[in-house]
Amino acid sequence: MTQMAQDGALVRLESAVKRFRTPEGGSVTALDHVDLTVGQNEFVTLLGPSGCGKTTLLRCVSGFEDLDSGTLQIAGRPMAGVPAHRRPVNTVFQNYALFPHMNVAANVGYSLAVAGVGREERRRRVREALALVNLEGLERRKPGQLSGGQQQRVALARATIAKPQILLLDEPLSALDRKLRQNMQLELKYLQNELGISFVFVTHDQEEALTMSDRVVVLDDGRIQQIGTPIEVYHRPANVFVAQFIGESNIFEARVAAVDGDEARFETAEGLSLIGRSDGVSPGEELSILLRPENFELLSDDRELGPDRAAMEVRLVQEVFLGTDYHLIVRTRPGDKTLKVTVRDAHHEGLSGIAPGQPLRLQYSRHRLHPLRG
Amino acid sequence: MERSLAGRRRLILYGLLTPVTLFLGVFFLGPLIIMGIFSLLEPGLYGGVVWTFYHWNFGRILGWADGLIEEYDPVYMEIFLRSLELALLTVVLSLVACYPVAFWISRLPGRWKSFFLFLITLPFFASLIVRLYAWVMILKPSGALNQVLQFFGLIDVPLEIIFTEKAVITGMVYVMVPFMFLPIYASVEKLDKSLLEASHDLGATRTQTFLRVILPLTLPGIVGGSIIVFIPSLGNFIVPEVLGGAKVMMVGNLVEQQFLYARNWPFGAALAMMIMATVLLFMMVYVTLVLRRDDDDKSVTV
Amino acid sequence: MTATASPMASAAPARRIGFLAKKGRWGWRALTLYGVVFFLFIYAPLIVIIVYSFNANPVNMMIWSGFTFDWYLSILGFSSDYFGSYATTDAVYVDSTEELIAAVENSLIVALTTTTVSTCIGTATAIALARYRFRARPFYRILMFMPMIMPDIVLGIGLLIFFVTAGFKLGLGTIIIGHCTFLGSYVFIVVQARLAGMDRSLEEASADLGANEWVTLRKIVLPQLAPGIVGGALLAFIISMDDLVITYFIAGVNSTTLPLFIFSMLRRGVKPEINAIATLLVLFSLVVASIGLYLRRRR
Repeated sequence: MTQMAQDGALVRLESAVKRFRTPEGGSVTALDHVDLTVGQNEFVTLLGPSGCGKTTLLRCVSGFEDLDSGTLQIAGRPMAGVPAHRRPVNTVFQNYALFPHMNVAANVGYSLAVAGVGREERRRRVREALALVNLEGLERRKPGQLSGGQQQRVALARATIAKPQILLLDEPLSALDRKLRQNMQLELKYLQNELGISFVFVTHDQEEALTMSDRVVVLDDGRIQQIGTPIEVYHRPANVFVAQFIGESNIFEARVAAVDGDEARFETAEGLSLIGRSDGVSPGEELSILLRPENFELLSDDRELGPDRAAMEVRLVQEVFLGTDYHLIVRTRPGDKTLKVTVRDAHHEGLSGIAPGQPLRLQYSRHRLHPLRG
Repeated sequence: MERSLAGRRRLILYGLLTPVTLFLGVFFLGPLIIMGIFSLLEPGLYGGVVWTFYHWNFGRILGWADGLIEEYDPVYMEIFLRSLELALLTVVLSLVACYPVAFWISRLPGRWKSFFLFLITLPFFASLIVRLYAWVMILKPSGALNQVLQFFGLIDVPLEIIFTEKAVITGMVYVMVPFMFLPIYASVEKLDKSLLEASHDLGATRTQTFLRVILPLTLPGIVGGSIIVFIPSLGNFIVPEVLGGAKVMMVGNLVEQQFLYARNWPFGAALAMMIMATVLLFMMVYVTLVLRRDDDDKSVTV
Repeated sequence: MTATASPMASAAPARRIGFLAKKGRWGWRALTLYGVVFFLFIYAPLIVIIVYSFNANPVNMMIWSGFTFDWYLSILGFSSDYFGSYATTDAVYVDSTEELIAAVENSLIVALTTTTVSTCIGTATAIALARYRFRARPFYRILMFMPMIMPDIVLGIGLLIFFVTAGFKLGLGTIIIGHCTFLGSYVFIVVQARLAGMDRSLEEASADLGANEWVTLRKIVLPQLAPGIVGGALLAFIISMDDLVITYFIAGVNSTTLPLFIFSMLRRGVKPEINAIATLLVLFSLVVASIGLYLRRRR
């Protein structure tokens, strides 16, 4: 599933640059020397905040925008000057873009009709495509008579009926409510597997990205911040941006005090001493440290420090009970740095009788402490 | 050779624009240019033109013709200014006439509103010449108006309204009302009723609300309608001819005369240039005052 | 019409909020009265014509002397002797109905041709200006705008000078050209408005699914634009049929259109048939207009 066949790359984007002119007369760089490859049968997600360039990237691949510089190859063929209707990619649009004056069958069969496929075969294949997305029987409806979820599936069926090698999806789930969204995420993943085509999926929802992807491409400000599997971008973010964009984070500004083989000791700006993986850092280096809220556990007085754990003294500011978890806001001692900590309910006995203002002892996993550069 | 997407788009664009460029370039700009040229040519003795530079056409109108080649006659300027007055009067009258109706219709409940809107736009589609002719039937001495007035004993002798300026103004206003109504109505419809309530809430009287809230907000419609009415009114010759006969002469009639009877095309062209210049002047004022375009851009750079 | 005031006034007084509510009923009543008078003003001429088209008086058509269809029959070509009617040779001057029919034919030929050409030009230009950004775009906007703000008379004589100088023969062809110069702009405005509200992603989707620009135009853009195109075409048709001033200057001797025909009748002296022709014309216009407005409502 995560075979990244570099030579058999389906999409190869090299040093892509795209600029736009602003209404005020300046120019904004939407893509700043972006390199990206997509392999066969891959589910790749482009993740980033609004304006990061992910949609622009998609549109350059699909052919709605021209690259200012850089090269794009799809299935080995260079795409310079090739208009959208001749590229072997299909797109699912954010607003579905279903043709309102055609019924579902005409919409889904559109690419076949344009390619000259005969009516009987079209009808058969439309039925198959609709079955694949669980929409049998709705051929005659018009898009205006469908619910949001149904429209979405029609858009999917329409884009996949011609079995393209690559499917581009531009935030297709953003208009759906939460429950429907979660269902659709599973369905999309299933579909991708069934069809065996590569999905390039654009979203700003990091949970979505982590759930569905084989690889995540994190973008900000027109530049790729990190490419990796969901686990990699979550546990080993490449920089502060990725660390903060995905999941909850606590970031420390620190300097490497000492390195001892696999491990290193870090002195933070607040005067805390942290121990964690060295990951190739050198003494004296200045960098950031990531500790995620769930990397902490409560250390009650009568317990010993666990293996591979380090301790930290904090003071409780606020606790929020959320069913399975407690979210704690604490302040470090010394340093008074505000941290977010998540502890599972199982540890609650350590919390009973604790009020805001009281000291706590936490322990964190040294393996999970992650130094960040940039 | 790399053919970019932009190149392809450019080709399509040229294909789409060529027809209009050619057609308007030749048959719209061409006539305007040649009319401008003619206004500076010398009229031939028996109609036709002599291709020499001749500014005396304008001299006759504007005053520097000293009698050697052409004679300056102030009547032309008088007629022109009179036409200007009439056109402006038409604008004002049709504005005053339409404004209350726009309010009335916009306040009507749904189905009545559509009905009356439909009613008011309908006569616009009936032929202009027919509607003007109807006014002849109404205003002439034996016409409907006089018959009614005499029937009710309000007058003894028929009123001589036809072939006076009053008749012409009535006709002009009548013809222009649909043009004035629609922009005004659009503006009034867009008026947020809650603004009026707010104004009252803050203590303004009805007059103050009108002057300070309603008028400024409906100004775009007023200005738009005024332009749409002013332009055809200035150069109109049909209404003065039908309802004014030979007695009411507007600059449009002058132009028509020069072309069809006096056969002095250069002079006629000069008069027409004056009309056009006035119109362009008003348009420029409009553009600088009012036009602030929001370009809802769904386009692609080529 | 005061009967209509009561149900409206009692229906929902709360609707007349704010400004007029303070004035109360009297303000509303005054406004309604004004509205009614206004409509009478608008429709009076039409009513007068229609009524008097049935007036049997051949000499002074403003004095009512009985009801008759004679004038209609006369213009439609039926001889007056046949029906032993009021019409005398004095009153009749449409003795060649052919003149009238020729004028109608000319008007229709001109209007249909003009509508076709100007719709194509206007639509193509609207698409070009809405979907492509290029440096000359503001100039084209102005160019399309100009014919509509030009006074008729200026355009008319400009075209006359142009045609004569360039050696064109004045006739239906020149009339058609003249009409197209400004009607293209009307179509342009209508289509452009519709285009602005159109979802551009539909065209992208079509291209994405393999359709080139031409196919996308045919299958997606034009069907979506259809109401706008039809509206523009209808507008062009009506304006062309009714055009007087421009046609007046550039029509040749043998190419009279209906408005020109009526205008010349007016100059020659008013005769009873005019009312009948006028009524028929009004009816025709109203039917066309109703169709147009009905089509608009359906979308």
